[in-house]
Amino acid sequence: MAKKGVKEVAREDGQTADREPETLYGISGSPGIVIGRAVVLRPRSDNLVRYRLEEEAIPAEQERFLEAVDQAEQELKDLRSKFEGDLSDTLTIMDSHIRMLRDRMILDQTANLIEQKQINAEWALSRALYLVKKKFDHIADEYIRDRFADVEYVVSLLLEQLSEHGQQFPAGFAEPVIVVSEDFTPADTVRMQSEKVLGFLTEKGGTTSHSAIIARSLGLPAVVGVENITERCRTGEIIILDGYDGRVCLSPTMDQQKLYQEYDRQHQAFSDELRWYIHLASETLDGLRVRLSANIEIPDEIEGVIYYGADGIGLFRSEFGYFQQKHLPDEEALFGVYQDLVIALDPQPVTIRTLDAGGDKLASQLPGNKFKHLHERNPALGLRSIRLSLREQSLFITQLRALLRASAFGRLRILLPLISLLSELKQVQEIIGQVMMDLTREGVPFDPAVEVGIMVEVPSAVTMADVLAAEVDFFSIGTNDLIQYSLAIDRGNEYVAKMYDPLHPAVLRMISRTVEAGHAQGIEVALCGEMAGDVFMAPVLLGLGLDELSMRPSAIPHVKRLLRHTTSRRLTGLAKQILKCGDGGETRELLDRYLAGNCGEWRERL
Amino acid sequence: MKTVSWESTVTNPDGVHCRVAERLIKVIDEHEATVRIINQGQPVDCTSILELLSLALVQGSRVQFTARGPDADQVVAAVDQVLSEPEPDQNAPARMRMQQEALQE
Repeated sequence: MAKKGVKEVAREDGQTADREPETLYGISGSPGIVIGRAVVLRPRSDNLVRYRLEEEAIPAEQERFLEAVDQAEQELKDLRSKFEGDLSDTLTIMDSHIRMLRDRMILDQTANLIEQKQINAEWALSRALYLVKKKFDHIADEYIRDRFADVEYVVSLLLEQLSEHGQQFPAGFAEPVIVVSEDFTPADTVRMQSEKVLGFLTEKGGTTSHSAIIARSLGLPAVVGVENITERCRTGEIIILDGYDGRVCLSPTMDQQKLYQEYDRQHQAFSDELRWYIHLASETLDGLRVRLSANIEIPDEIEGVIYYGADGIGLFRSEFGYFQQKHLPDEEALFGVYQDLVIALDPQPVTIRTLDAGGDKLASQLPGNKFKHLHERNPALGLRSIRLSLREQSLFITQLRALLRASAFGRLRILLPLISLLSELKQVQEIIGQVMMDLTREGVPFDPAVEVGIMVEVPSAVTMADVLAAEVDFFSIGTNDLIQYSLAIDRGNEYVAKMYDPLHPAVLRMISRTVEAGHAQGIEVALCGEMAGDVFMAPVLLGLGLDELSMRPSAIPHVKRLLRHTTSRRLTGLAKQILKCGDGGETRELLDRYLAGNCGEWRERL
Repeated sequence: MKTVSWESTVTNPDGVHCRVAERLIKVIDEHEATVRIINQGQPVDCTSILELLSLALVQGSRVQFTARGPDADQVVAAVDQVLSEPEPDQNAPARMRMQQEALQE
């Protein structure tokens, strides 16, 4: 995906020039600054969707309009059939409406305008209506002139149809735009990548909404959760979208545009250079290779995974699929998702973590609302993750069957979350063995040598890592939970969140210990917490000897650059020193000094 | 091909509005003939309801027609009949809209 630079946009549009600049605040959905014209999709009130089309998009847009005509006609015919039998006048009026739909002043005119003016169907239709109005305005007779209301009614039916078809993300913007809507689906967000979309704004959603997740993995700037943005922002208006700070400036002044351009210039220079790294190997100057893989939550993120040159998927959070519908996904649905991922990335590995949710979250989908009243005083320490899978075995077996079946199509790795006991692991292995036997008996293909690994995210697993390592094919350290559990900090609690410190030496020593235990048994150790994608912290992790860092896709080039500019000796040296630190403050100081000495001007944090 | 030209006077009280225009097009459709209205020298095809409406043919308007096609003779009478039909119900458009709302409920 080409990264677009921030350009000034002249305020040539008469209708926006008179508006006062206004700044609105939302939540940062995905970093980046862009300036461009807004296109408000699915607007409420009478704010019309208007955008210019590129030439190639014209036939498809005309087709979309004709489909809307067909649908509106069907709608009117259905309505008419309810009147059949009496009221011949009413029927005649409805016939006249049906006829208006296909009248050359509407149908041909709109289709021509789409082509001649290169504008979208809604816009062309409103222009056609305007032309009809001009004709009607000349009518002296009031009764006939008022029939324009009928024309408006017919056009409103068409606009309704168009906006329903508008559920699909529009295609073929002639100029780069910022799209605005109540919300976007993950599929919309993926489409934006191939369209000339600079970024997007939504009313709904937070940082964890699916569209935001994908925007981040694609590197598409976004601000989400901006109240009433679809009403406050007008199509055609120039806006600044600041995805770093979650801000939107409507009708900005030239000075504001210049200021944001400068902000962006700095970020941009950096990421432009980073693009060079996408296709380079992830290795140090002295040839130490570290796999940089991707964390994803939804299958649509695969685009970003491939774009940013990830060495496979280090963590697919399989909870996606369990909360999409009211019922639990069946084996086929899960298998389909896993198979697609494995095939898309073959021969790179795809690591899929088994269900990592709390019982309360799944209660409504489980038969009999099983855990609806599960009231846990301490959900983080309660019935969740692998513990739930072992308790609700049919759920677990369904997922294992889907995973094993998908393993026949590429390199799939099964990752078991929250393992805290050897016996727990053994129980899982037994179930896996049973499922494999079932599949063999049924003649269903799977990879009998499929790799099974565990998340090391509970302090007891770190302590027992040497024992556990002998039982599995790989480790993946989940630092998000490991930090919470080992420092006894709930990062969601504002009073103590500050103490959540990934650079606490205790955390780093646990990582180091896990790596050593894994390597002693000859297995690979990965790390898939958020800290893996933080260029400030990555040098320590690389120095600790991890074989794989898994992060959000867009962070991969950043970490790769860091890796390619250093040597394994420097990294190990740094890690050795840091392991001796007494607290997070000391670790930070050392890291600061290291980055100043090794990475020069680009010490920015992601 | 046979061509007939004639002049007709609109006698229905509200002129050529939606229903009349609709009936006119329908009636013409039933015949094998192309009917045109000569309006200020410009021939207008009687196939577009919006163009018919925008001609603003009120009661008493005199309209120049041409018909071309095998049914040209028959279509003259049919057109004249539509243009002189009495209007049974003048409030039909308003009523129809009400019923539509009633249906949606």
